[in-house]
Amino acid sequence: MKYVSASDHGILLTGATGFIGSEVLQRLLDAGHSPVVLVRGESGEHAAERLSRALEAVRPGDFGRVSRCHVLAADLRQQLLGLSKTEVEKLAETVDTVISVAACTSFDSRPDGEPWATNVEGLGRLTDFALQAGAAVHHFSTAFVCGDRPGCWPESPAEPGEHHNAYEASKWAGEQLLRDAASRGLTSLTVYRPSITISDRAGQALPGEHGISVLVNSLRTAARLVGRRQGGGHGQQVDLRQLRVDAGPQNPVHLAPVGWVSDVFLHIFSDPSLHERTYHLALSEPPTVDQLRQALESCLNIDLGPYTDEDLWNGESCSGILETRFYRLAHSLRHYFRQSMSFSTENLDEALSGSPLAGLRFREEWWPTIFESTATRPERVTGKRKTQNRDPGIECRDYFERWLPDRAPRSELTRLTSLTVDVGFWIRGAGRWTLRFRSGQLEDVERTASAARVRTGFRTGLDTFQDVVSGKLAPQQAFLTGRAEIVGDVEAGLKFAMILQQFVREFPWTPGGTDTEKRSEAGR
Amino acid sequence: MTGIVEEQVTIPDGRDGLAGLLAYPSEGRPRGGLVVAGPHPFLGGQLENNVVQALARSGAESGWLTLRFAYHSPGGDLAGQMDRFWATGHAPLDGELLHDLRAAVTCAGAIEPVTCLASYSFGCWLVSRLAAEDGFNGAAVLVTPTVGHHDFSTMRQWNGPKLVVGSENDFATPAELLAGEVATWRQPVTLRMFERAEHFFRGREGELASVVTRWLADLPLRVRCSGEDGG
Repeated sequence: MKYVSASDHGILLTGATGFIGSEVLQRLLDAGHSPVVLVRGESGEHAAERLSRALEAVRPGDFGRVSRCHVLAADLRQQLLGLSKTEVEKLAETVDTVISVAACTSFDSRPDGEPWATNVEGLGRLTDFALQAGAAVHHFSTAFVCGDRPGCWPESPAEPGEHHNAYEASKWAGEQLLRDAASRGLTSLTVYRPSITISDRAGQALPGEHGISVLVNSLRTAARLVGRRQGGGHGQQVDLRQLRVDAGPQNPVHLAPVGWVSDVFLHIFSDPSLHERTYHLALSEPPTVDQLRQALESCLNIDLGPYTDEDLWNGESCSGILETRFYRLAHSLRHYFRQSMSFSTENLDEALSGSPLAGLRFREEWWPTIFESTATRPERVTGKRKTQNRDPGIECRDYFERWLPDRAPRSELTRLTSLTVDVGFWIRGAGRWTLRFRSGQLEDVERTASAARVRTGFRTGLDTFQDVVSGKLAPQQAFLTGRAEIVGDVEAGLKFAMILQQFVREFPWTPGGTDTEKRSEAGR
Repeated sequence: MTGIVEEQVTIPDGRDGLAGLLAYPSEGRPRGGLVVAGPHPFLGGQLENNVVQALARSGAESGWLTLRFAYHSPGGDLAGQMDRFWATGHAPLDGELLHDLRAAVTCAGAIEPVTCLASYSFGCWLVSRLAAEDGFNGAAVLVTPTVGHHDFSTMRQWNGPKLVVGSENDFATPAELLAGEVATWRQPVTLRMFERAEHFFRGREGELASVVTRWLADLPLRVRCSGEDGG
């Protein structure tokens, strides 16, 4: 590849306003590069302002850095990256290195198409550009593209296990897309797979959806609730021993400081002989779950309960409201604590041989900084959707035990004379219900404490359930986008989803608006 | 850099029209027309279906003019249709949906000769019927054809190039059944089996698109250009 001189605009960077991207950009600027930076924004000025704020968070007070970047308002999710044809053509003439950091970190598939829209489709457009420009690509993926693959995950494009969420799956699809492009003439491809990046400097803010933020803030919420009940003052130890810890104490927690990740990136990026490989940017000796637990107890002033092997993360075996609430809030993290995974760092070790970056060990003194970084955006800590402030059990109970039985006899369902089936609904954190249809008649609705024998069933979260029964989301689409799972007979589940959709068309439900519904009925 | 243009269209079908979405390269002449037939309308056969989108994207990014469409609404006795579908997996309207595919092929063909039909699940059955009954002179992509539910014997005679994609854990198309059925089809046939995938390819759309894109790119030029040179 052509190596980029430090003074030109030969480097194009995406994701520079993000947690890792802003650190990467700072390193590039420190190394004397003047990259082209694609930033989402309504205008060039707006994009530059956003970038300026991101850099300010990395190193406060160092003004004027943005002027060394060529900032373009762009959007990977749009055709031509949201740029004009002329801009793209001009860029293709000068850019010879693309650094792809932009990503959507949502664990769930969202109605707006994320995380696929950015991590796959957007990356696809960026790849097309790299092919057109003849540019080398340095791509940030994630070590967790391994999914639930057992054993040590190699630094190579080996087949992963089943992915746990849309983020992992989309990042893997993105990698595949790039590797395919590499076989079709991409100048070169270097893949960086960081593990869980965390803050290592005071004042840095982790995104609210970051796994560590979710964990710490869920515990803070639990501590606040219980602390208020226990009547303790500020700073007093809160007894959370009723909250059992469903994780292997010796399982690794693959944390990697974002500063180190960015330094390692620059080290590899600056040496072309290290390109065209895949690197796990992970510590060789990460902390364990037990170390994390002790640090949490110490820093948050809490006492947690005993370790358990019971599967609490799905909220079904939880013994009380506190556990249910915690595991519901932190549900997306279950696989990262229940699973012992390891990442090979052979390529990394070779690349860092002789460098002071080699062999970094986790330091206990980082814990307070890590936890502090999750609290710098209070609106993220407590800013929940309105629906989460209500008792989900009551909402769902009302739907299954009043709304549905009231309306089913008046619906087209009654004409489905062959509809004889037991269908289960598991709404996370709210409960389980079994609906019994006989010849199109809803004969019975039963709330069950444990899994009932049903031919087919649906497992989903409260938000998705509400979107479905209010008609905002087709039930089959909820399944196809990973927002709901079908348990048991998949074909029957899909067919029932069709029937449910028809019922919802007839009788859409308004979440939280049951009283309005009652009033309007009374007025008829 | 070539982008993809997407355009909503209404496909004339002799009734109220079908909703369709055209996608094609922003520059240059398309390599041919490609129509995507989705799964059964009762089982997620919408424009937004993830596999339908992946197929359409593969086509457009490989330089084809692609058209995906939504089947017509059953209308009339919907409950009766659903009841029959619940009981048997077939609905009275199934045969009529071939009419929808024909309308889409005609619509796309008016812009660019259709030289490839891509399909998923139930849509594969429609494609197999159209290919045989209309003497379609092109190629076909069949993703998890429902060989356990529908009759695909027409593929034993139809001689167009075929890419068949199966998935290991498929409730509708067991892998062994598919392999056995495809072995009886007339060559040329390429069978690609996705390990640890299910019928819906959730999370595997990128890989699927990549496989289809590669196959489309390797199609013999005479197939891609059959509209131009008369086949």
